[in-house]
Amino acid sequence: MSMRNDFIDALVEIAEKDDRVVLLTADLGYTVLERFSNRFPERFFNVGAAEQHMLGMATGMTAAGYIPFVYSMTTFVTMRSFEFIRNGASLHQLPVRIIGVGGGFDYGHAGPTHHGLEDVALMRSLQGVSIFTPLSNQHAKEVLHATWKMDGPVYYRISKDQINLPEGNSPSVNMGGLHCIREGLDALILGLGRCSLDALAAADQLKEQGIYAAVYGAYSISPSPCDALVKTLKDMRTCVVVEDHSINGGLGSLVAEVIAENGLNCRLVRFGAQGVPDKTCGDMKTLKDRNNITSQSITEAVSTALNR
Amino acid sequence: MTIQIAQRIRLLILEHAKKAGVGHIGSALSITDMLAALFNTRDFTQADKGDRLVLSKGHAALALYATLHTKGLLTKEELDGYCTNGSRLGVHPSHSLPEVPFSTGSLGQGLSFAVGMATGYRLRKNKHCIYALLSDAECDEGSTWEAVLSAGHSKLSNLCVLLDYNKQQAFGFTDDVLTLEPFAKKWRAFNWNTIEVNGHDTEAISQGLLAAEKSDKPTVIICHTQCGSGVSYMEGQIKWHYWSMGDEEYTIAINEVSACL
Repeated sequence: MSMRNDFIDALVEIAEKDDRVVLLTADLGYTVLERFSNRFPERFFNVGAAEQHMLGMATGMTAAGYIPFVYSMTTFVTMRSFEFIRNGASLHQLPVRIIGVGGGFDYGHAGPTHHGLEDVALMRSLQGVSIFTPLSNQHAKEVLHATWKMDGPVYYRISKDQINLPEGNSPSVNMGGLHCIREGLDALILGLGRCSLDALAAADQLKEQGIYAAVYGAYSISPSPCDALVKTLKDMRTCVVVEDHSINGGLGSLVAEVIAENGLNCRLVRFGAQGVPDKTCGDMKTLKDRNNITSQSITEAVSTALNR
Repeated sequence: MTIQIAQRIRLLILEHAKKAGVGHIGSALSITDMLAALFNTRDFTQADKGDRLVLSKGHAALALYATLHTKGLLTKEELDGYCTNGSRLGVHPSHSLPEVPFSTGSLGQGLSFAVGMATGYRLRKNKHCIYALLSDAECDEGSTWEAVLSAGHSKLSNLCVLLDYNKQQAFGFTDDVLTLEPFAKKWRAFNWNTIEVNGHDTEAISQGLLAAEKSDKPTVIICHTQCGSGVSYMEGQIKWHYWSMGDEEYTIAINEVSACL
């Protein structure tokens, strides 16, 4: 089952307990949202293909005491409606919950209009918007249960795919927390959400070369994992960030800010979408390869940084 | 009585626009009679226990502040601080005022906020109404029509739009910049109860508000108005969308409005 299905299942559980929870969609989520709409038809609103209005309407519904969740693809829900989020939920600090499905290259074959490469940067630029990028299906449910009632707006970056972490990984949900998938002393490889698995694959290759890299997953982008990063990076000389997002404004930028502002002696290498926009579609592997987000590239970057 | 209130609102607009040296005077004067009619017949002071007003046409906020003061909801001291450092009263309204549910100023957003409020009120079986005051130029914004389509589809009968149709915008007349006609026909086509009135006739506006309460659809009251209404040299003149008054202009304006008190 996909992360988005598990997430909506968790939302149904919450809505059972609290009638303030309503769900709005801009006509996306077919075969996903029925689990909510069938159970709570009066609390489900398909506003049509109108993302700006959906965010405005959700903002208005908070004035009647509701906690509105809005659902669409990452691109449409954060970009088309950006100014509504800014002047609505962010400015007024209202409990609007934004579900962005398919960050990064989840919808690779759908073409460049559907590649979610700027959503985290946009949401990071807004004041008082919490941002969560769950690491797995199970984690997505736990993130939702831990955060749906928090103050102010929240952005959830949810995958349309099934994402599982290796056995033995049960990430918790701490505000500003990072999840340690593997300890290591030579370097830190940090993944955004599902890219934690790319980080892990690179660390496996490095291990074969005798390089022991720590692997962490970033799920709480705002509140910022600043303190956790300072603690983790203070004895590291190399940090690699892997994200299915533009290298500008996302997790890599966040880590750069933390390193610079805290005077850490750590070299940063960012892997993410970069260069001019791509004109073509492709599966996730193809698009990651084109953007140099590969285990091979990450491995080489770490080796080079360590002079090995 | 309502007419007298509207004239007092006009005087306050002129006085404080002059004092602050800011424009948007024509836009504020355009909606004074609409606000007088609304605040004389509706209670906007009780949050979710009363009606709510979204001033989507945020650039006319001075008219709202003047109305609130006239109704005893804003002190003279605070009104005197209009556009000063640290004031709650900027050119565009802020939700720091209890009578302002949502800060506005970016055109084309207020109606969606109002649709959300009306939807929430209906779901809560709250019988109070949501009012939104829009400018005509806001209907250049595509997002406005998303909200119009949505409210019409949902038969949001607890939603009423007062539309300030003064037929002017920043650069010229709406017919020259981006024609809205056939305006009423457009709203009807979107399944709204559509009423047209003289927007400076407070009795006609009040009658429109009563008719809105009886409709099973959302209502738009298209108020035909004059930008700069009440000051002869401003009426119908494009520059008074933005311009601020000089001393002589101020004196003439005050004299004209005072003469109608």
